[in-house]
Amino acid sequence: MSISIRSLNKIYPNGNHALKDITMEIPTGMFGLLGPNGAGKSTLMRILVALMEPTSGEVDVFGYNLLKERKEVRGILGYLPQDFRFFARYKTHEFLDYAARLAGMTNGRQRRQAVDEMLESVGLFDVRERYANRLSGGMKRRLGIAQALIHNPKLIIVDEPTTGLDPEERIRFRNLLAKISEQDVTIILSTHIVGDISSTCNCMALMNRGEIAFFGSPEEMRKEAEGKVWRMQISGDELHLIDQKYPVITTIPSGTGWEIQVVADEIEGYDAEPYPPNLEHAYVYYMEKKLNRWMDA
Amino acid sequence: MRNRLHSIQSVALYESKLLKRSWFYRIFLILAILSLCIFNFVALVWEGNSGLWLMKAIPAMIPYANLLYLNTGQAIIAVFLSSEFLKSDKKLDTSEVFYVHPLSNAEYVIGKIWGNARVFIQLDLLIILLVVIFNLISGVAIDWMAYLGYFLLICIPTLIYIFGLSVSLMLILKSQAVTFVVLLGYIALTLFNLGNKFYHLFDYMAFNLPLVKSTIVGFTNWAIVINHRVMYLLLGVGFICLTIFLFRRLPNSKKASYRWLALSVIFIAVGVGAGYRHVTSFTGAAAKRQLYTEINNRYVNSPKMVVEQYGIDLKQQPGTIASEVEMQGVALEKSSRFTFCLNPGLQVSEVVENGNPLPFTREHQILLVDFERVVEEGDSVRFTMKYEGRVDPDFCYLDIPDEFLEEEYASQGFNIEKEYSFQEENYLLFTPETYWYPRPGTSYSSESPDWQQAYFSHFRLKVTTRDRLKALSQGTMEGEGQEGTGDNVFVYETDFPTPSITLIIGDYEQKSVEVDSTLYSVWYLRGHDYFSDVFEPISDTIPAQIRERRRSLESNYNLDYSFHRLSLVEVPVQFYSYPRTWTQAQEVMQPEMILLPEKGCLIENADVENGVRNEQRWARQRGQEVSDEDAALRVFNRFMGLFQRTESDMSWSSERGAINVTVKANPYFIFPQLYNYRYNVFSSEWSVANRLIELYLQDKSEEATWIRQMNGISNNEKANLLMEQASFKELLADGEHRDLLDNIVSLKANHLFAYAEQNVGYNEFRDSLRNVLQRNEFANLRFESLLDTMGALAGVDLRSPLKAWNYPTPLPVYTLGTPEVLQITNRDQEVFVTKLQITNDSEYDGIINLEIFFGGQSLYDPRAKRKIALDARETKRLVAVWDEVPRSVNVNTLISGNLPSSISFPVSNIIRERNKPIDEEGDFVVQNVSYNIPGEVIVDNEDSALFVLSEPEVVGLLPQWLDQMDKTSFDYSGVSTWRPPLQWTLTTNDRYYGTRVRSAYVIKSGSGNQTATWKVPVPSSGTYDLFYWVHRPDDARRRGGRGRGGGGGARGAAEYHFKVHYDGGAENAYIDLRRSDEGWSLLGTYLFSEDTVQVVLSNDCGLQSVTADAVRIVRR
Repeated sequence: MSISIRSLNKIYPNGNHALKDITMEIPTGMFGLLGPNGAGKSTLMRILVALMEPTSGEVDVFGYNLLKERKEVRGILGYLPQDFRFFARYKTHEFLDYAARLAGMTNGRQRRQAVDEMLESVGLFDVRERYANRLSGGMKRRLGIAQALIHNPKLIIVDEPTTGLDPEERIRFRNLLAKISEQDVTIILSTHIVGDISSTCNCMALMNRGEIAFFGSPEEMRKEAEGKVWRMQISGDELHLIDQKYPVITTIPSGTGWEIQVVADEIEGYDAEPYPPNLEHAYVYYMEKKLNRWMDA
Repeated sequence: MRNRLHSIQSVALYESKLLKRSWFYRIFLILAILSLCIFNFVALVWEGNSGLWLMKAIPAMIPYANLLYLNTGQAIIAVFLSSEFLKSDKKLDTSEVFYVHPLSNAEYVIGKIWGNARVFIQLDLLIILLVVIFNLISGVAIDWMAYLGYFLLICIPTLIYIFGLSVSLMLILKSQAVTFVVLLGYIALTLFNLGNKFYHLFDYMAFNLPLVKSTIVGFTNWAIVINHRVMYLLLGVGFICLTIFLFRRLPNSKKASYRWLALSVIFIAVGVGAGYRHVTSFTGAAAKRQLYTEINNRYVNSPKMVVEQYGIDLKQQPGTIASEVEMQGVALEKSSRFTFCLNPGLQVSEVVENGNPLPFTREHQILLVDFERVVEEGDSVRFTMKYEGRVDPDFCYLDIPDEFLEEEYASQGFNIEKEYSFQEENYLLFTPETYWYPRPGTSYSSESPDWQQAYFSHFRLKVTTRDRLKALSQGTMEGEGQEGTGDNVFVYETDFPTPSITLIIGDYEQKSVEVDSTLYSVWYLRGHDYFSDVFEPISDTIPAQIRERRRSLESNYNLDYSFHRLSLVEVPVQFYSYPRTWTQAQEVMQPEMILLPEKGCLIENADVENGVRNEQRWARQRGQEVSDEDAALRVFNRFMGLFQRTESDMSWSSERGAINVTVKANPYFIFPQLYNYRYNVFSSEWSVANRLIELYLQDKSEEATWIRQMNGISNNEKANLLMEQASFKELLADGEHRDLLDNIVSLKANHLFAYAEQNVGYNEFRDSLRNVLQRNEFANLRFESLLDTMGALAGVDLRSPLKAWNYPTPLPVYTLGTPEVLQITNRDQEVFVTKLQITNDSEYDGIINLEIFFGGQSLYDPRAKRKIALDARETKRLVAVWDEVPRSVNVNTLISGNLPSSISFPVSNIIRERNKPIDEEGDFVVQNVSYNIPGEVIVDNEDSALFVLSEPEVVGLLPQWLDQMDKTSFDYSGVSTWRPPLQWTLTTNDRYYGTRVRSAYVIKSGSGNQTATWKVPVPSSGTYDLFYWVHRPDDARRRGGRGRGGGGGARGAAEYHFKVHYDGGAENAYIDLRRSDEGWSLLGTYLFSEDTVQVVLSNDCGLQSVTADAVRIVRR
């Protein structure tokens, strides 16, 4: 196990209980942390990267106690924060160089080489002289991952990396992460976008209101929703009624009415047929049925 | 460790990049370079400059001035930039990616601060490089150590401190805006309010700290300066440690974080300790001075002996002196133990009489020698004393109150450390104030003036100097520098009995010229001869110039300069002297020596090279040619004027817009060379006896009228008001009015001798006073016996008025008529008659001074300047007949309640008459006097029942409150002509109308919304001429005047606009100030019925100001 978390609690000074007694073991490889906004993902991430102290609990990171051996943990860490947009006036390659220096790369020649290679591999070499705040959103995110990787960390923590990216950039970014996870590293990816997880993670946790609602593989999660997803054909008038009754996942216009997918244990009064669930269906199922959170999510 | 440094370096590197890329910094950089380049160009390169001699005279001033200005700028900019870095950390999520790296908080914070600081250090170095280039171009020697020293003393501690303070404050206050406000307030407070308080304790940017470095002795206050700067450095480091502790990122380890807190506490505590040491080093000195004075008080009346003969053998040692003094003393009273005073830093090892050691006791400065037998009064003893040590400068100037000692010694905004003696390895300066050799009695006592007696002695001084340095002292030098031991030996013997001698040792060279068997020398330090070449063209004319100056001085004061030589001696710039209450002589003035600051750096006229250039430039501008000789001669004379001026430069101060001008006594005024080292008037009761005689002999004129006008009151008038409240004795003891003491003493002296002068004549009385003095050369002349002698001579009792000095002085008030001047021509004889009526309007006898001026030089006439006594309620009509046209009649009411006390009547209307008997001359007592003409009514602004002003326009709460704060006991304010007051302001001037108080209200010209109203009662119906009292302000005298730009009224610009309300109607009336004369000016002729007429003056005028004074109606 690369990271083990035991009875982790975080209560903010305003009384918000953001993490409630979280215990889990995160294995090597790509780990996905899924949950709606405000579930406590970022709090957990920030505790894991030693930016924040938990109220109670223990965390071991590759054998180091996170609370006592912060320096060692920080030594093996790469981090891409959620909102990686606002930069001081640094050029792209300077930003990377700065990160490399702070990570302990003292040899100038090696560092310059590493920076160039990294820029090459995230496709930013051509814009290396451009000021980082002039990069596009996707480029910024790639620069973010580049700085997190520049010193070959054992643990990479990525918080909501695909938010705000266009689909093409998002896919590129997922592929990039997948490629990295092939090496012997642990990547913790926090996201509220199910697609990010389904395509890359072999293990995941679903967080809700500061608690772990599900822990396991995406496949296991998907299986939990089998037989709970239905497809039906309805008229335009009915859509409104159904929407109030069941969580509607997709609505596709078809001929005179709509083809919709809903999550429910069973459907009454409508002509519905079971549908094979995907991870997204499973996520909705969890939110709605197990946690009763659909409406306020 | 390497990793740590690497982390710090990395953070610093990128922090500097950020700073250099910020516009704020770039603008500052450009502004700093530009302004300092202009400054240096003007100060060092541009030939047309003036007023910057100090910069060129002392090479260290160049880096000092530049770094001082730069540092002040960057200390303010640094606040903005350094708190920026934490703000940006908060805002930029991206900086969190740096936080997750393993570097410690300390490395991060230190890196950030170092990154910022090094940008400023680079800027400083760049500026220094530029300054060095200017320095090279200017030809002024480069003082490399000063560049390094000022950089380390000024810039580094300031930067570290302000960075530490602002970032830690930012973390504590958590708001950038609040931090800015707090810090900028703090900076303003330290710059403007606290700068020189508590001995510059709060002066973190070293803006006010005295840091001028002498070329001769360098810094003299090393210990204090370094302690002060280390204090801020430590506090800065402490704040940085605190920042590391407070930094909002989880520390790598908690323990390490608390270590920083502990370090911070330690650094701040040591810094505060250094601050405490700083203050106590001064308060300790004050306590020491208090102790010395108390000891003096204890011994001031103990038995003394006058030392007739001194034989001093002094050896200069590194930092100390060793001395053996042989003294031949004559007991002033019968005793076995006699009191001497020697600087407490000097340790006496033995006192020997005829080979037998004498017992002696030492209590700080006091040395009591026990002769083990009774020495009768007048008996003489011969004994020897050995002592060694270092002079304690805190012993000097015990008479000067602490607040004066703390006052800044500044020139052109640069503060200079005050030193009273020097004892460096290569330079030594002891004035008598240090008591570097044993002197009879005590030094300053606050309880009895007995210590002031001057004991005239004969001195033989043998000095052995180090490293072939030259020794200077008073008297004739016997055979220069006998080579032998490797040191040089100098022997001086005084030519006359002298109250005290001075010792100066340094690497001196001499330039001299002998005129009429007096040797005039300039003693300058090697390499400081910057003047010889300039005066080379006039070397032949200089002796004649000197002769002429000496002649005019001697005849001016009717005293002789009797020394065989006069030396101008260059001394370090830090040498400072204070004016004393009992004598004109300051320590810069020594018998036959005048001590000038190095290269005359504080005396603008000493910049002779630039002076010659300026002369030639000015001549060219006028389209004239001036030869090198003429230019050099003018410069020489301008410089020599320094010794003839009684006052030094003016100093200006401003408080809430009101400007005050103060004029300080000129320490280089040469009078003491004529008087003080020969004569001493002494009184056991009156400590200022000598000063009284000095000031009487100098007969100083009043300060210039424009200064009085700006200040609103003259110093003599202030002195009068003080004397009315407190007795002369109390005022002498009162330190608060020290600056007015000369005026008080001078008024008292004038008053004391006034009756005698009236009887004998102005010049005649002074001549006899000088004769009495000369008979008492080189001795203490008792004040009381001097008064008896002088009184007998003039037939006046001069002793009994002294009794009144124990009580407040009642002030008589006088009403002055307007002088009349008649020109009477009878056949071929033509004479001028002056008539003036003066009334003493009080219950107190008084005396006034009357002076009549004629055009051009006239022969001495005792009637032209004389005192006139006026008893209580007495009126005198003063009639005099002259052969020449009187130009003005000046009355000084001396000790009186009149404002102004000095009034000048220019003679404008001369009444011409032919074939008429000439009036009888004399002072005639007149009975039943009236100054009023029948049918005439005058309403003056002083007449509160009949004179009304409009309400001020805007009266906010704050201005009201400030006005209340500003209220002084004195009702009349100063008025500046170029910045008239915005509200009606009461001021006095001898050109205004008034009887005792010549006052008027002045206001800045405006739209006409401010008015002054005179309500004139009309005694009976009839035709009246209406007059207004005109005082023409400066801008009405100039042709064309100055319009108010745009709103200059419908009529011509220089007019006062009146409205005359009578009989239910109103008429406009105008006075053109450019055309009318001063005094009563006709507004118009009106038919008034028996009623009250209102005359309203508005402030609608094209001149700068409007003056509301007095209105008069005269029945036709």
